[in-house]
Amino acid sequence: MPPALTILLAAAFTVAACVAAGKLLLRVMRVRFHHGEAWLFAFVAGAACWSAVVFALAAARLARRSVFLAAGVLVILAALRWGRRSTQSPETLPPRLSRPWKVVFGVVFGAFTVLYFFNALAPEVSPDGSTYHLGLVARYLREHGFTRITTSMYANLSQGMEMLFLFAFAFGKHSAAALVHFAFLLALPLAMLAYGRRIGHARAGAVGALLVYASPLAGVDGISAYNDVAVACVLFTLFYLLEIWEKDPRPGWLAAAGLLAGFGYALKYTALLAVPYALGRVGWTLWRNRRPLVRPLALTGACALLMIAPWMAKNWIWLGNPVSPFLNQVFPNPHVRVSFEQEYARQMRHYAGLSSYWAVPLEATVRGEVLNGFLGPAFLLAPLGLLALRRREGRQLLLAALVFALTYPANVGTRFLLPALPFVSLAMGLAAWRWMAPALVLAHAVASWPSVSRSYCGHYAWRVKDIPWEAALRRTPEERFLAERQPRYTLARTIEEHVPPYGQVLVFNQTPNAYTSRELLLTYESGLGNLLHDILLAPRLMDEQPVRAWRFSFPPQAVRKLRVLQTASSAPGEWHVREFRVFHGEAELERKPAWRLRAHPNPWDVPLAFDNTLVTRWRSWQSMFPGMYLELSFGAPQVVDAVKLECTPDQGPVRLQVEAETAPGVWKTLATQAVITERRRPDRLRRAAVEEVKARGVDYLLLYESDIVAEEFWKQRRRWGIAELAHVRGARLYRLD
Amino acid sequence: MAHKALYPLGLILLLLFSCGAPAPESYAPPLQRRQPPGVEPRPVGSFVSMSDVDADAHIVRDVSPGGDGSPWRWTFQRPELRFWVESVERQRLVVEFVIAENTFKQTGPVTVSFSVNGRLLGRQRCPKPGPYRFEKAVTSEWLRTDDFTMVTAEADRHWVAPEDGARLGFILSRIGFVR
Repeated sequence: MPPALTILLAAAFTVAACVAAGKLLLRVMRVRFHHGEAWLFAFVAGAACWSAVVFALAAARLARRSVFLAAGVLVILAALRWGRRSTQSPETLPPRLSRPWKVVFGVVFGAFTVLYFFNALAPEVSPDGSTYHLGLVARYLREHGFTRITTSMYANLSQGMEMLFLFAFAFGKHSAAALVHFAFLLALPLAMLAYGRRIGHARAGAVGALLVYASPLAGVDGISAYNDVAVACVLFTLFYLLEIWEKDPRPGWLAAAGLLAGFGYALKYTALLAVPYALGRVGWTLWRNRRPLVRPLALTGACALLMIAPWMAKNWIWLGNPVSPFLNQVFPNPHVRVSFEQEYARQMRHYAGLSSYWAVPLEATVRGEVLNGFLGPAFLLAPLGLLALRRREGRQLLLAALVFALTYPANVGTRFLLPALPFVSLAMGLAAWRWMAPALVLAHAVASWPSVSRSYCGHYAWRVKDIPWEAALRRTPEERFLAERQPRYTLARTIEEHVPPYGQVLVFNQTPNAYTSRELLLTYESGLGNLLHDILLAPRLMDEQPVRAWRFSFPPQAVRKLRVLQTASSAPGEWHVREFRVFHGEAELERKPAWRLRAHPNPWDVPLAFDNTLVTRWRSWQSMFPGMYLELSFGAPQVVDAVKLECTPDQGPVRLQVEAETAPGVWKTLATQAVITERRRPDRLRRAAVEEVKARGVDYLLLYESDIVAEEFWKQRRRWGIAELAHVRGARLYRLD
Repeated sequence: MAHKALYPLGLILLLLFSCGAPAPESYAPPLQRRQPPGVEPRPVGSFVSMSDVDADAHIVRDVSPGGDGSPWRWTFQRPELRFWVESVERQRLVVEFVIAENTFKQTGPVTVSFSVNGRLLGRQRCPKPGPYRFEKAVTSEWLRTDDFTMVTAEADRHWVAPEDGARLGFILSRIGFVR
């Protein structure tokens, strides 16, 4: 079978399974839609269910092609038997589009559908799609389901969309997954148009739908293995369902709304707001109409929880943090460091290159370079949508836009505006005067067409650039297209060639792991990655800075436990200890297996301060606060008279004191002043660092020329004890010997 | 009735806030690491910047001592440096250097000759003061992987210090072999 056809069938099979699941679900919920709505709602609600089914299969380690095939066929057959017609009422949606608007809609929608379809069908080259979205999907398929992954924070995010990708990927690989996301891109404007008709403003529906559909960012995101357009589609469908429920208050609508609200969270954490939105709107409507609140709210909340709980439980069981990789201070764990989370959150709020938040409107609509994509210049007219406040529907739309944009400040990338975009677009459609609407739509469509948009957007703006017919139909070999469009693809294949199966490669930068079966351990994606990065940077750090020893001396005495307490007030900067040594006289006490070590915070890394090497260290991995400590219990009274901490100067303004436990629970301060001395680092630290990395199961290292340590590793490779295996496209792959 | 519906919510919250990765009460000291055996391998590589920690190890003669991390060093009469290349194939000698304005006033245009293992590789004419970059492919027969590769760079005119007769050539920044 031609590869392109296989891909199409795989995506179609996934979408069909979603629709079938949706038909069955909506039948159980006893809700009926107007003609023209039923398929859309079946697809979106069914996607939620099918995603949950795939989750269950992956959790049961049944993520296999054969199982997926059987499950998909079963659900389709069941829907054909029991789901047909049952969800569709005989009524049709009023009013229809006028003939001129039908032409406008058909031409714009058709042209962009051709553009998007061939891009979605072409080999997947998107930055996140070819790295973690599909990298994890490929891994789940290889391992037949979920395994405990602690080395990638992206594996901890909710992955409702990835579950649909997984199903499609099993049959059609990367492009099939992208096509599934494209199905949401197709569904969204059709749902918006249907909504416009339902509220009696078909023209507004068409305007809003085309503003979203032709938007360059919605397009490029929707044809990639991402999830933002799916989130926008689900949130809009939720809004639409609640609109219907307000006129037809049957509990089935609320169950469906609850599932969709929860599915929003399952797709992306930032869509969690769907749950309070749904509960708030239901509660407000019931309260205003003086109807009972509890049962409908409990139904909505319980259905939302059904979709949310599996993801929270997975993280809770495996990582100890139900909302990993966030809230690590509330749910402490060794897998995501608090300092990383804080730095990551800061970077998401302040994209490099963004001069000020005043630059966001132009960047998000026209330039698109700094915030990774642009919506199209037409959205500079978004304030026009405020005129829709005159109508009830307009107020509802703008309220939803406001709620779903609330998370935007947490990540100012343009993609994070997409959940609010359908509501803003419809409000613009409602507000636009009769003469203005077609002009707005046509101007937006022309300005968004790739050959036009390239004239005003930033050179590196993320966007659809052309129609890759040849690549989509696989007349151009996938390898060639991928090597041209995704420069790091070649590296992934080089890794596949040089690294044996199950080999782990440490990388400092995103690499398309969707195209290699080897595990890539990215230094910033996990606690382990952070630690390995810290170890490899230690020798160079100590080339530039001396090793500093803090020696606390006190009269000899027998103690059961020793504790070094940090007493300085909260301040930026961390506290760390490379080695914690205890003395009696001139002799250092030999570390014994009966000793017990504790630390607060970050108790998991305390052994690193007692392993007799300077390349590792215990770090607080969060800003200093008073009360941090390292503690050593001897198990029996032990005579000691000095404690020496070996550190490097790269830490906060710590103030330390040594305490001893003289009786159970009774602590006495032994010393508050230390004699600080400095010395040159010992030899062979580079080699020691490599051995520490190897001891943690990593035998390969990939460095891009832009990585800060690349030159150091290349020039000093003999001292590190590493061998170059390949030098491809500005990156070097090393083996740690 | 209403408050009963809140029980599951309370249970969920209780479960959530009991989260957190289980931390062992305490750890025993880990296996004690030892210094890796053997001596520090030769720090000479195939390319060096004058600011590198190991730059001195590459210098055979006639390059001013560093130690302050400065990226530039004066060369004298006949500077010579040594390199260790891993492969003889597709190597190019790259030299980045500067003709200083002060010395140029006395010397005028300078030509610098570059030799690899005693064989003349090429010349760089420097008609005015400023930065220069010499880059030229080196035939594989001139190189070896079992011993040092020696590179000399000699200016045809030198600035002579009036006080002690010291002869300064050019200011060296980066030198070595790249592929």
